[in-house]
Amino acid sequence: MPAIVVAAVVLSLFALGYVFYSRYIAERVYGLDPAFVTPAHSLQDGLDFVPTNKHVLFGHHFTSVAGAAPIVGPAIAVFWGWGPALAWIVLGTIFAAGVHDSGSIAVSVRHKAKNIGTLAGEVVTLRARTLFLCIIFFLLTLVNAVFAVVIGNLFVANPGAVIPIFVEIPIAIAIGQYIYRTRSPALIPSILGVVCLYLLIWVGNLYPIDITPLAENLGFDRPRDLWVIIMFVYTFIASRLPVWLLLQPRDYINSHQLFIALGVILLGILVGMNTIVAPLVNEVPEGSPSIFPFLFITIACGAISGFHSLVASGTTSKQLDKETDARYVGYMGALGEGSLALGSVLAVTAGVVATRADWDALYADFATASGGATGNFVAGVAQFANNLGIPLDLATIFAAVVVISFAATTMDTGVRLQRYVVQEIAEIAGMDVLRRNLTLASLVAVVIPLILALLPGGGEAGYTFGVLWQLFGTTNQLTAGLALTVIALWVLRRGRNPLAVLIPLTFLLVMTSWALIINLVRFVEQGEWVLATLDAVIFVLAMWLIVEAFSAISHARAEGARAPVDAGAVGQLGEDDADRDGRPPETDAEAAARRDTRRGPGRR
Amino acid sequence: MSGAVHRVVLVRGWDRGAGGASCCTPADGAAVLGPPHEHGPRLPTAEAQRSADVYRALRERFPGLDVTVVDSGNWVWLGPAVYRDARRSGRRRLASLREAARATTPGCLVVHGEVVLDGRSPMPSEAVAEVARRIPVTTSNG
Repeated sequence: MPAIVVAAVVLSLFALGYVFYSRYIAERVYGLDPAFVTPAHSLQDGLDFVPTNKHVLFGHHFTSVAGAAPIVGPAIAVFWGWGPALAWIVLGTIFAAGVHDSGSIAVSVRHKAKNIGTLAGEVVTLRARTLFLCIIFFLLTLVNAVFAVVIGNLFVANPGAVIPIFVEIPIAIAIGQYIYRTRSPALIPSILGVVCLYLLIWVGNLYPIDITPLAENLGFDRPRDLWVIIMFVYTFIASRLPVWLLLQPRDYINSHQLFIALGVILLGILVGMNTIVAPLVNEVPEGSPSIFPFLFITIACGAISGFHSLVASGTTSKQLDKETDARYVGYMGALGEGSLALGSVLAVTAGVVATRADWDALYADFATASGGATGNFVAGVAQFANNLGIPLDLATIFAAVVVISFAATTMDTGVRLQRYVVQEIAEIAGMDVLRRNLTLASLVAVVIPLILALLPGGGEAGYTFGVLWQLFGTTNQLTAGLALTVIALWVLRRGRNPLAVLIPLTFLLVMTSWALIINLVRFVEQGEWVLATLDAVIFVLAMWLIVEAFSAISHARAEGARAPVDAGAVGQLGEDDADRDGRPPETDAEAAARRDTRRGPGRR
Repeated sequence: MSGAVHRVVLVRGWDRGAGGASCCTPADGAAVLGPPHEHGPRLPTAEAQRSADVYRALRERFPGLDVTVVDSGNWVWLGPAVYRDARRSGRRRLASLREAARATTPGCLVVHGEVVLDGRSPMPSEAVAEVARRIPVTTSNG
């Protein structure tokens, strides 16, 4: 089937989802009110709380959530066939991610723009705040481990990408310094930075840097492991630099790269008219992970990502001009992420090879499929770029540079965030030295994922993609589960029907728990004690979440309509819970009556 | 007042508003994590504070004015919006393009598609004066 047809169908479904389902969610489930005074207005300070045009805010929100993660999961999950992978991406995006992302903004806006971690502690129970931190800790650990290996694999497979990636660092620093010191416009220098980066692809192609001999001399079994160590050393240093020096200018360069890569994929598909050679449903070898539940944790970002709730409630909700904008900003952000996942599926099913036999070799078994997923994506995008006349060798390095740039920034920001989490957990645990010492917290943030990334075993592909990626997907889904619990409680307390939130919540909790149990049994049987312990701890977190969610929802149902609408933790109408213009929160009946009045008799 | 008639754009500083990098690692850790402990509340940097002061001064002096705060990295919105405003103000295409590019200067202030303060030190009083010079007070209070 032509890839362009599949792309058109999926994008049309996304459009229908936005037009119909997001409207239903916004009006009937969340009851978004254009007259509600958002925290951006009531707490306006010009710093964090600023009423912002919804198109501007969407730009901020989307660039905050788009990255490399929605590429990797789908590139692995086509192992079960492109049909199931795309079906989960479409259904997950429309019925779970859109609900989750717009709901996270809405619930935060109704609670003084507090973030999801705080809301978990207030709306669910105080314990849920600790649960939130524990889940985020494991999520960040796994993110940093898997992306270090992504980069290591890509450097080994594409030694031509080494020079562009490492020279990008001083280029970004120079641009950052220039803009910061001279107060110059950022656009032109950053575009020049991208041009330099792409010129360096040509240099990198001429002078590839293969560290295999060095790695062998140093006693590494896999050259990738040396790259992993180099990346963590780099990340430890980079995460200590001020954001304007490296992170901000590299983000700027990455934002150009994101649009260039999306343009190359779309135009390449259009020009090349590539057809999908992969099977619609793949008959996987015996002993492979089953489609249920593993497909649903292999694709997390791209179908539903719990991390979006952090951005939605952490920064986006503080800038929401009208409450009804939550639909556009949140739901469209989810659709954007789903579109990236669609690009990944097309690259690894239509771009990467020309025949079914070649594809079967790339996806012969789960270990091969997962170990080679990112490389397959790079090869697929390179083919699309080749359709546009770019020589294949340069196109391959271009695609590798794009993925590595995003993955490296992911690690940089991941370690920064993990440092905060470590400090906060240290405070709860009363570990004063760790709480106060930034260097020590950074070391913890770096060393634990480093150990995981270097974990021996699992054959050539290592554990990273076969197992760690699934554990990463699981923790990401647990984060989404926690956010959906908060949203469901809020909806329930407003006296509205929470089914649209409870269905994805239940589905995610069942899939994650199921996958954790299967993996736990397997690890124990195989004597993989590190992985078994990790899996068991995450399973405990999942059970903890289920207990908290079930008990809080049961309690809210028992309270019924007596619980105040938009109330905080204890269901009491306090200062925080009144509308910012001083109105008490309205009941559902009042809201319905007001909407009817506004519509007038002819618009029912 | 309609924002389409009078639009003021305040671009955030370079040390602020790193939206993030990826689906799984939003950059602004203190903002996304929750209650302030060791890492919060976020202490505004000097640039961010100055930008906030300018914003508040403009809101106070021109309550009805549409002041849009944008990250300098949001060039996808910034470029076309400033270009459109500049064209609407009667600038030629090339000049409008130049203003659109200049508008990505961190900390700058843009009125009617023209960069009026380049972000070196846009003090609140300067910003108010520049805006007042370009927008009649009668309408700006609108």
